Amino acid sequence: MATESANGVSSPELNERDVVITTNDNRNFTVKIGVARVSKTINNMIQDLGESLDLSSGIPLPNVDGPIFEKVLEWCEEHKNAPEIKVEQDPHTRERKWFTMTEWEEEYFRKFLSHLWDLAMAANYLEIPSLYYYTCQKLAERIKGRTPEQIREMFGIEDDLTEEEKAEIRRTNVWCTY
Amino acid sequence: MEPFIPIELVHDSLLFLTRNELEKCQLVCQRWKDIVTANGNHMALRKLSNLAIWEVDEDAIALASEPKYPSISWQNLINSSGPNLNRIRSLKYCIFNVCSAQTEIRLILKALKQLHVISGSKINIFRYGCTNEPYELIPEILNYTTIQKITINEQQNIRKILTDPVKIPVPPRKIVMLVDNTVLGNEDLLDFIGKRNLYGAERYSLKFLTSLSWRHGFFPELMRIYTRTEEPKKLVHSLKFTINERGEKISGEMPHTQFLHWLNLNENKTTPILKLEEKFRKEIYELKRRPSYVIKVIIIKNFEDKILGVKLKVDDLTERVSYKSLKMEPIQENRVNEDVGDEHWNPAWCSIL
Repeated sequence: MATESANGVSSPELNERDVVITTNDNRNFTVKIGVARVSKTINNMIQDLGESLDLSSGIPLPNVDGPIFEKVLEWCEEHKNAPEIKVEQDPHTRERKWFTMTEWEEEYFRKFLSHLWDLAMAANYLEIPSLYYYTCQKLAERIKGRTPEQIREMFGIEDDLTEEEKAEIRRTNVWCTY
Repeated sequence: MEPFIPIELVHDSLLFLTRNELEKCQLVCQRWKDIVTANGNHMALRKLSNLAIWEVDEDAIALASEPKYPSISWQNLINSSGPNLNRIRSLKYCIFNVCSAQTEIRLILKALKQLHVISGSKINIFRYGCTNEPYELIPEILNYTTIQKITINEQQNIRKILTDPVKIPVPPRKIVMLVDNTVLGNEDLLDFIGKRNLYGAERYSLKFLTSLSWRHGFFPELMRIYTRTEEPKKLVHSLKFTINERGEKISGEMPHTQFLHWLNLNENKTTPILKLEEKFRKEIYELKRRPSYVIKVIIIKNFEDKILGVKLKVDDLTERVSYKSLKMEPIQENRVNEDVGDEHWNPAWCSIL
């Protein structure tokens, strides 16, 4: 995922103008350009179109559906002026450092807990690093401390490992207590 | 319920988890197992406290996390099978906070080599603390290990590193040298600072035991290197100086005295910018300004005009980051120590051998 900030053509007047975005279920969203730009993918489209951008005919998003885009927009509205997030890892263990979330962000994920994978997929496609990494962290939070059985159940994953394969994993991972 | 979760997303979520969690996640399903095994080289490592190697008798050495815990003998290591074998293999996904060997280098090398061969991977060590062995052997140790930080305190070794470096394929990330300047000359140090190409580590840290090496025009010469280098940001970022690490009283000429003297002789003499803080004030001297960076020296004084410290800083004007290289501040100030204390490390290694 690219890390450069999305502020190419950033005149304040342009940010206040509306743009129409059409999701793959043909729903139209009228969004302030300053909000839509939190998505680098949309920002690139706006920049590429430049002068020829027709704000009323809209930008198509073939990979996102309306209900998810609505949730993503909530995030963008809240994060339109937020600084770029910094992804860091522990210098010893290489574990990714956990982000501290605001009250608003915690509430956002509580509200959309059952849509985490969809949000992550949309954030990945739309290139919204904050939403993407935060959702991944939320997913990690869900995985942490749960048994493989609980994880499978939570995410609807099929248990396709044989008992022999599981025994082998346990043998090789000497610290594995499951 | 998700019928299909892209691999990339599972991968990026697993990056937040510890090694213990990752091992558990391999039991979820075939895909998750494959994601963890295929990405083992950049996913989390398990922290272990100490890899201790010591001699039991003439032909045997022992390895353990702490000397007080059960250890493995050389014979067992060579004939390792069953649980021992898997335990050693799992070192591939572990990192030791420190390796502290208390025996001859010949035996240390033998043990590290054996661990390397059995685990099929270099042994990850954060800090390597046994540094009195001949300098020529350091590259060999690095054949079997990946060391993040190596501290060298033997003056003969430091002299060799400064004057006659050998290239090693995978250098440690950081090399710390405890310089006793009564042994090493200014020329060697300055020549090294100008080139710094030896070993290829990302960062060097020179810790001076006393301020003596700042005599004989060392500091002005240092300033000249900084103001003339093509890449001051890189220089400041890759080299750090600390004086009087032990907190002893500094005797002899202080760097800031040399600096002020040099500044007075310098034709680009600048008036310092004053900045007041709660307990002290700063005099900021701009040495050189370019569109992309500023090199500054900051002198920190208390309100009785007593100098408390000196900092050399390069502000990157494009990225709004600043790099500090020279730091000489009162000891009582909070010093950020990047070494994590042993108490934060998992002593699990104890139980495995």
